[in-house]
Amino acid sequence: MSVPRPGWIRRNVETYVGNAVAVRDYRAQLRGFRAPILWGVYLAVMILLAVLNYTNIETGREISVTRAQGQLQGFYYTMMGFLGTTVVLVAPGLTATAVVSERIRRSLDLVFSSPVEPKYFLVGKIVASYRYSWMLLVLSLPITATCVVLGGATWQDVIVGYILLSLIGLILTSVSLLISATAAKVVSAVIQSYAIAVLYFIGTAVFASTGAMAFVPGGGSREAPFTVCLNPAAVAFVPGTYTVIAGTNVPNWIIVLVLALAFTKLCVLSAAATLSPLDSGETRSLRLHGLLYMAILAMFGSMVGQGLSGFAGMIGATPAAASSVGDAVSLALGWCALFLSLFVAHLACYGPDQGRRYQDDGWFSWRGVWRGSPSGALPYLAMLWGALVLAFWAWMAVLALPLPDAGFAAYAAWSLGLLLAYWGLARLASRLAVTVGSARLMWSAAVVLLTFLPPVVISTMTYDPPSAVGHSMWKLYPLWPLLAGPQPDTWIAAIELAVFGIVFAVAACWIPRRGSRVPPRVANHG
Amino acid sequence: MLEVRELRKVYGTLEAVRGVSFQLNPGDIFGFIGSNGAGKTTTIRMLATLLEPTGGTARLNGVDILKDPMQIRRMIGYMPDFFGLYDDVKVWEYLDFWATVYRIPPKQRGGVIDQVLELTNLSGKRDAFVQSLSRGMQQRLCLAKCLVHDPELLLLDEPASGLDPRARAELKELILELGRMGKIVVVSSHILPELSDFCNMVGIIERGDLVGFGPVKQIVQGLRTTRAISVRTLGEANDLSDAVAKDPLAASPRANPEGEVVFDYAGTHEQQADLLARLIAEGHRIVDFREEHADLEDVFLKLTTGAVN
Repeated sequence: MSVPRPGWIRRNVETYVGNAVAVRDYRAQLRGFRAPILWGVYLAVMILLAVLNYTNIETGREISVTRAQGQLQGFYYTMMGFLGTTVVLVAPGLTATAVVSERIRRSLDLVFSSPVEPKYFLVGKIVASYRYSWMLLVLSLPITATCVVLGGATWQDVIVGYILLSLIGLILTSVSLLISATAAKVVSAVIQSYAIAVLYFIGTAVFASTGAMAFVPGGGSREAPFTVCLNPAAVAFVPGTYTVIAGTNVPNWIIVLVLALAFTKLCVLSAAATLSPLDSGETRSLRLHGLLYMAILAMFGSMVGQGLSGFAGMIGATPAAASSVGDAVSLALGWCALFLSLFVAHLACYGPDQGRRYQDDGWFSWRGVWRGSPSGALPYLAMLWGALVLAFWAWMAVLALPLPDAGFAAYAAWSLGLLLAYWGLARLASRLAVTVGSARLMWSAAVVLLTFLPPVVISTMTYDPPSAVGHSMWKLYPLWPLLAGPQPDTWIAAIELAVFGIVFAVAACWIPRRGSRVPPRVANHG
Repeated sequence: MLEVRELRKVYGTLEAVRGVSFQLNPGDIFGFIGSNGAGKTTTIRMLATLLEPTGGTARLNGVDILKDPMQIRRMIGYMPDFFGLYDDVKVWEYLDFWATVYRIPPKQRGGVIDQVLELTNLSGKRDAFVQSLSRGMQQRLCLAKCLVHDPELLLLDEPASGLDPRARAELKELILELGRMGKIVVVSSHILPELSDFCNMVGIIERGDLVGFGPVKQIVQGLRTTRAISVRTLGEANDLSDAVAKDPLAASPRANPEGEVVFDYAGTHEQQADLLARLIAEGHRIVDFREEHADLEDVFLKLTTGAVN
């Protein structure tokens, strides 16, 4: 019997509705008494928290309406904070084991020798995990509804808060799924997922606190960068905030919705490429999406730049790093390039690995870009850089920010130099290391040293701040433009980095490769 | 029909499979033999579309594994050498999952599950949890999973490993039944006597090269230009050995302490019968005179060097 080949629409419908992987995982999740007991405990804790919180509200004597309102709002904030914490704790924990446990159990070969596309499998995993997190949110709805009844919040607050919590849950679920697809062990997947969740919490708290300052003190305007909505502890404060895009007030939750869905797609694509062989459709799709996503990264960077600059102006300070919105956005380009450089090791390092995916196939190949092999790293990095610069330019026009100037061009050149330097370093590390894993580790160690050691050393040797002009020792530090903000010498740092990159790459050609031992395939006995 | 042409797989400097070619027809049960690391699993994984070949290709009923791997996956059932089943899932739920994956219409799923459970003799375990099954039953459940979509090609990588003799016998019967159903079955195994019991075709792979391929009998006979003959006597084995040595068609007769003489014989069956008559006429008290049949193990040892073992 030949199984029918479904059409594109049917395939996509089946991926999201009635996904067999999700059904199977959900059956296992709900098996026995474990799930009802967990939900019962969760609800009991929520009710206890609500009762304790409510009894603390002054009810025995007359107080002003404003004070009562404030106390009831505090009650609502506490409940939402608890829910935010729950999402941060539950989403990564549920998802981190999803793929890695299948790999360890050796059931992935059975899955991928059947007509299952990686996307189908991964969406099924996300749906199963996310549905569980979502159920926890739904279960808490009657308790948070009391906040509306008592007057601490409006329905709009609650609904937007829940939407944001769901989206944050989706972001954490997606990133945990990606980690699960790349990790070799369950324990490392769980640790990495929680580490990312903590970093996410801290990072978005910084964005939320800086962005929130834009609207809290005045009290009137609710205009704020969308980044204020990304922190799970801040969701109670941000309903009603909006971002002005091309003269239109766009509610921030809509931007976060688009961002979360785009991020989820990127994570699923990355995980799918990880689970697919080289030269697969998934790899090509991921590479293409990577270029398109530079637009989102640029939007993020432009808005953060705008927000940081606004925040600096509001508190009456002239920050060293950003004296104007244009400068702040140029600086944001530099930071975005630094973020992009984190992926260089994954793209460029080569050497023996268990999946035998990262073989040395030369230093430059256009075909390697879409094949996903190390030879495609340099052209792909150049393409990513070009897309990022163009996207920044476009967003600056859309957000009516000052258009790129010489400072922006200098940062663009510096970004390219940074990517080139890190690429050269990856080639060199691959030459020196035995496996691709150790090459990446070596690269990471070198990057950490090159990033954090010089500032410590230089700051002990000079009183100059990083933004000092002239012949300061800080000019020896290739990343100083990120600390100093736009300076006339940014070009020199760009050239410095490019030279480093070329030297590393040439050195990699001269050094003989260490070892050629291929680690044994665990499952290969043939 | 499965047509494998010049299939190659290269990892850096290591050539794991070097241009393997063979052809199988419906109903063929193909025993794929090779030492550890010879390239069996790599070849099977390429046929299962889990590995992309470096060169060459394979076609199943005209569908190319490179051009349309998804269509190939709809036509094959793959059982790896090591596999895991899901926890907290019942046997019928496990098969229901695969039936959904293979897009068996919901109304037919129950019937299909019952059929494959019956075929694999697991009907009584329909509601058992998969982790509670014995190793042999789990192996059969995996085979049942491979059968839910009625595939045309079954790729079974070391299906008998870790099974007790009874479970092996049951598995052998099941594979024979699948062959009778007209499926092409590719079985890799280290247990050579078992393979010769139920395979009609055999392929021997050594360091990525297919050094022998064909019907089992043909492969075994093709290797011998002479026959090994064993004669047992109640008298002195050395005397018998001397008597045998007089026949110019007999080569290197060896007497062993059990009173047995083994020698290679290049004559016809008539000449062989004449030799036996002469030995009896000379007064040797022959109690056993037989041709030693070569088996797959002999063929395997002769064709391979064990270099990658």
